[in-house]
Amino acid sequence: VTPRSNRALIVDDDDDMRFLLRVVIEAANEGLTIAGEARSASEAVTQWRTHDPDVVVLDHRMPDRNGLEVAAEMLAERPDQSIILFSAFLDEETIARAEALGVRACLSKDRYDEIPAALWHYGPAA
Amino acid sequence: VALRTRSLRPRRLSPALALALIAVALSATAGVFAQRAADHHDLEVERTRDASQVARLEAVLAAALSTTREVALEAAHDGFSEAATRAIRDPNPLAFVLSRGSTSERVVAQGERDASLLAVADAPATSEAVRAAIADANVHVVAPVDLQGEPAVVFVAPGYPSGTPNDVATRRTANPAVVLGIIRVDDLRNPDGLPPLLPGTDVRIRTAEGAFGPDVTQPVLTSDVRVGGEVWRIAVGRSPSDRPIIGFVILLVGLGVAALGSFVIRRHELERRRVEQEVDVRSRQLHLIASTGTALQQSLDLAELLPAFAVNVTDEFDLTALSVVLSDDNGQMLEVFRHGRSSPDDASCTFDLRRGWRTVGRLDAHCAQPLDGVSRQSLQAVADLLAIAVTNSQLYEREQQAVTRLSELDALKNAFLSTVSHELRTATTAVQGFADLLSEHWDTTPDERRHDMAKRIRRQSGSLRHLVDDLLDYARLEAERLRVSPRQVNLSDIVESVTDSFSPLVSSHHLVVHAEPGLQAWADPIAVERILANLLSNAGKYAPAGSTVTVTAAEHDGAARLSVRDEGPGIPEAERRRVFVRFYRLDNPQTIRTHGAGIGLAILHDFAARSGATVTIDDAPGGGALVHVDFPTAPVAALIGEHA
Repeated sequence: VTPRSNRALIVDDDDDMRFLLRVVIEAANEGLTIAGEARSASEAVTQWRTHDPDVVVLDHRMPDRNGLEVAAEMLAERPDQSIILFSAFLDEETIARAEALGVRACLSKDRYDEIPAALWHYGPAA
Repeated sequence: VALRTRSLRPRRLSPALALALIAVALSATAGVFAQRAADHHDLEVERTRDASQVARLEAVLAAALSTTREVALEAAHDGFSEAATRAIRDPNPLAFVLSRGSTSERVVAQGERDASLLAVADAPATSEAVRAAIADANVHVVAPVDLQGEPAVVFVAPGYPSGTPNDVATRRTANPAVVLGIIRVDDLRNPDGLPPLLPGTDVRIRTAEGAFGPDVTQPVLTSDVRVGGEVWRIAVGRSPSDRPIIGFVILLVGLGVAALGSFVIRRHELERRRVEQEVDVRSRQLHLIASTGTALQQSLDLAELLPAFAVNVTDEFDLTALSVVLSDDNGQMLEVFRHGRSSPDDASCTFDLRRGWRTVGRLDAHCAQPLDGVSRQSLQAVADLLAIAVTNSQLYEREQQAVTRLSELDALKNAFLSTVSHELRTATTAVQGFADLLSEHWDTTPDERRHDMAKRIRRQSGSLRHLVDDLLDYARLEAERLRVSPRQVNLSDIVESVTDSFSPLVSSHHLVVHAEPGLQAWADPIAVERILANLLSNAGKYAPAGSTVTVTAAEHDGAARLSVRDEGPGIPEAERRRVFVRFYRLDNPQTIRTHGAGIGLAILHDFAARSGATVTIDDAPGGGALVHVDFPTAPVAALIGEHA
């Protein structure tokens, strides 16, 4: 059986959070790989175009633009792009706007350990 | 429009004029009736009186005739002297000329009039009468004759010594005595011893020879009287000038009363109109005041109120221009609205906009004619209403500003909560995540990675500690329980210690510390720690990784200066005062990227203020922020929140 490939783009302006996600994803299972990392919204869009990831794990609070704005741009270009909004502070308004945009899931940062499962769930086979 | 109905009222007949017309009509009518009544009354009275007048005249004439006849008979029998003496002695108004027909013997009974009496006797009419009297032996009358320019009556009587001859020829030859009794008409009309004629009554006598006496235009009584052989027509009445004028007098009095009444009523009418006009003006002004009060309550927006207000007031008070001048926050008077255009010749008047004890502005009114007292009072009332509206508007504006500030503060607080939540969750997630990984994959994790994770846990813990410290300080600040206890300290030692302790906050940066050895300051070590920790935290957040953060402690102008310099974007000059406001964060991408609650600099500022230190923000040479905190080197009196 050929393991399914699931390539994730990690977008977060906090260096420790990116590192934590990388370690957690790497430790989780074979098949889950890190396509790239980005520290800002503009960097995220560039990396996304370059690496064409299966899933984008997107922080919401970033210096240049917020995660929803980045998601809107990506989904406008590729409506079937799988995006998980991964934020430390998720209020109902943000979740509603994310769902309206077509973001697949919203995950609070304290549930970092659920990221591998979410990647599988919202990955290519989904 | 409803206020300007004065000109539309129907014009009424002036009461004064009406009364004058009525008075004139009444007095004219009364005059006519009075005149007629007077005339009627006089006529009745005069008829009676004039009848007696005529009777009296008849009697006088008869007496004169009789007396003349008697004197003639005496003269014939007793001689002229006897007769003359008796004639003069008798009380009668007659003068006598005694003569004998065929001789030249003549005696004049009243010597003082001799010449004139003789002239009368010699007059042709008299001579004619003498001949006639001798011929018919009767008394003849000649009238009028001229007696010294006055009309007179002459009675001619013959006297025969031995009886009256029967035939004319004998009579003529008998040589009788002839007596002329002469009487002036005035004496005839008003003989001595008799009551005079009524005033205004005249008598005119017409004889065969002519008429004498004043002209009587309105005879009351006309009577024919036989005098000797003649018939005289006697008219008694009033002369034209003596006509009663009671009617005219009443008319004149009536006119006078009418004029006086008219004058009084006219004055009263004018006064009434003046009062009515004043009441009208007052009423309109009161209406304006009432409507102004209502209008001014309809809005709290002066920009909406003032134009309508100024137009109304200018129109109603006939102003040429009206300015509204209001006091600004600094007490400066500024013209905020002006309506109309004034000329240099205009009168001007100023009304203070008073609200309680203070003046919130003024109204400058310009008008062609100076305002009267009533208008000034009304305008002051309007100004007082405007003052209330202005005050309410200003209060409303301040309230709106306060609401806006509170709203902004609320937004800042919400942002603060969001940020704090984000910060706390990020840090705790990182700490927990790395700790979980280490504990679960300790054996399979290479040493280098384990070491890396431990460093990250330490850094995130430092951030967490700093954030918790900030929140605790903030809570104390809110509760006014933040206390500092300054004392003499070695600032350099504290700086080095704190820098070492909080170096994880700038772990991605190159930290340089320059502390002047033994630098003394009057400060609370905890305050110094919180101040320096916040400055380091800010430098760590805003300055790019790898750049240099420099901490300096040195003496500066008598103060112990602690400075932190970074190579970040710096703080714009316009923002330097606001960054010390709680929850305030610079509105730029750099701020959003960084993780801060927006209370660090506020806490720093409060610690500095309570320590007697001053904080200044400057531009670092070559860019970046440079913050100085100058601590005093000796005790400072009355510090905020100082804890003894």
